[in-house]
Amino acid sequence: MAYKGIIIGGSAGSFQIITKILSSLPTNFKYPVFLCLHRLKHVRSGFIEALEIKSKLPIVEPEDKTIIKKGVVYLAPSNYHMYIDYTQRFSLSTEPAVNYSRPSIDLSFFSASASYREKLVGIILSGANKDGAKGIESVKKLGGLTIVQDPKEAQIKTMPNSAIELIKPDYVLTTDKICKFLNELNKKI
Amino acid sequence: MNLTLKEIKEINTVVLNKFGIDYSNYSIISFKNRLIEVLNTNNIKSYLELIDRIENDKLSLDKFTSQLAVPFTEMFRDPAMWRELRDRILPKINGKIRIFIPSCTSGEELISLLILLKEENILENAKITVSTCSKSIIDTVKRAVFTEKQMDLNKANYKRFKGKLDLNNYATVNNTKYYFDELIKNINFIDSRILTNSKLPTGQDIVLYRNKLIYYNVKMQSEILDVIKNSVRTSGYLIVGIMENIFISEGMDKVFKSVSKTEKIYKKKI
Repeated sequence: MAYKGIIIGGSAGSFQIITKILSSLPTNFKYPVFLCLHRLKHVRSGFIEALEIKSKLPIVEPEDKTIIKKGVVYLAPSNYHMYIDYTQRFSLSTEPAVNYSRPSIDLSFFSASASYREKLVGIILSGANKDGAKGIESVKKLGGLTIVQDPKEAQIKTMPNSAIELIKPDYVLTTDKICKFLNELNKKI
Repeated sequence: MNLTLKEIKEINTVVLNKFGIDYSNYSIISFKNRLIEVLNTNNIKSYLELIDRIENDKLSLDKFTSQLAVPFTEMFRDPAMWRELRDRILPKINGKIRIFIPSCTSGEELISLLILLKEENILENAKITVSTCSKSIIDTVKRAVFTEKQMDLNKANYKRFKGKLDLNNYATVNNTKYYFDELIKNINFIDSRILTNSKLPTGQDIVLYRNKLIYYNVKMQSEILDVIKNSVRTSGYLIVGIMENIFISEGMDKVFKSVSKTEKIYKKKI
């Protein structure tokens, strides 16, 4: 299966996992990576810089209608929903928060799965609410590959557990295994 | 409830025939979300039922357009932009000041602006024009009622904006509801359902058009900016949302230059 994109959702307790995943990805990584993380609304800067320290890939907060490129990590900007459009562009939105969250992981995942269908890899990490569960369910329904961080390892288990209650993920993995999986995936194309 | 692209296209065709509004260049995902919202709000069970209601006059144009519009969710959104406007832009404008807010969908942006102008003692000198896509939105904006929960967020933003007083000073509070209707006087409301077809004001010192472009595709963004640019006077300002970029539309770099990269404030070239 040739995948075209990877989307990762996380909240409380996922920052270190994300850093670890990003640091493991090689400079020649051939997929776009969409990060939808719950973050402080009023803090506009600093987050990217913190993620960039260990990442070999460029990290950007996409402006509206930015064209999606391989090998770039895209972080959902604070206080906007981030949609992955059918036209291979990002669309941002200020629609009301969902599950108290904007960006909403569910909404990002819905849009990505509708655009990429079976060519999407969806990953849910540690987090303190159930945002993301319905999102990963839509990835599964549309034939994409689903990965949930092993709740035994997750710092805050609500998010991965909510995902596992809703679907049977293709893989339940620890952080190290997620890193390994993504690197293997990169070797296949 | 979900809608497929094909169903959305069918709805669009019916809407175009019935109401003369072309929604095909809206940003598809948010547009889909809004359509689903319209279905839920009106307790409509399928896209066919929606089509039936539109065709048989059971869902009015006014209701349809106002429910589709994305409301603004907070006053003083992006406080840094409001500080920039107060501290760097407004002092550059002398005498009478003309400000245009196109496609207003709820009152937050207008109220924030009115409060800012009042605190700077220039409200008396301001002529504000607001365009909306429906009569019921004008009513909502004029009523200017907000819940306590909304006000928590508005107040937090106002604090970051470093306003001079407290938002309570501008509202009448009654039964946990906040009324800002007293503020909304002498506003020129215009009905412009389709922005690109409307007679919009010209010679404006500032056009405040934040987080509206995001709801259109690239083609439509370009068409809208082509119209809006005519509202801004030479050396006047266009302000868009902090994650919007007018320069993805061809030719806009010849019309505007950026004066605040982070707050997305543009100045019209001579």
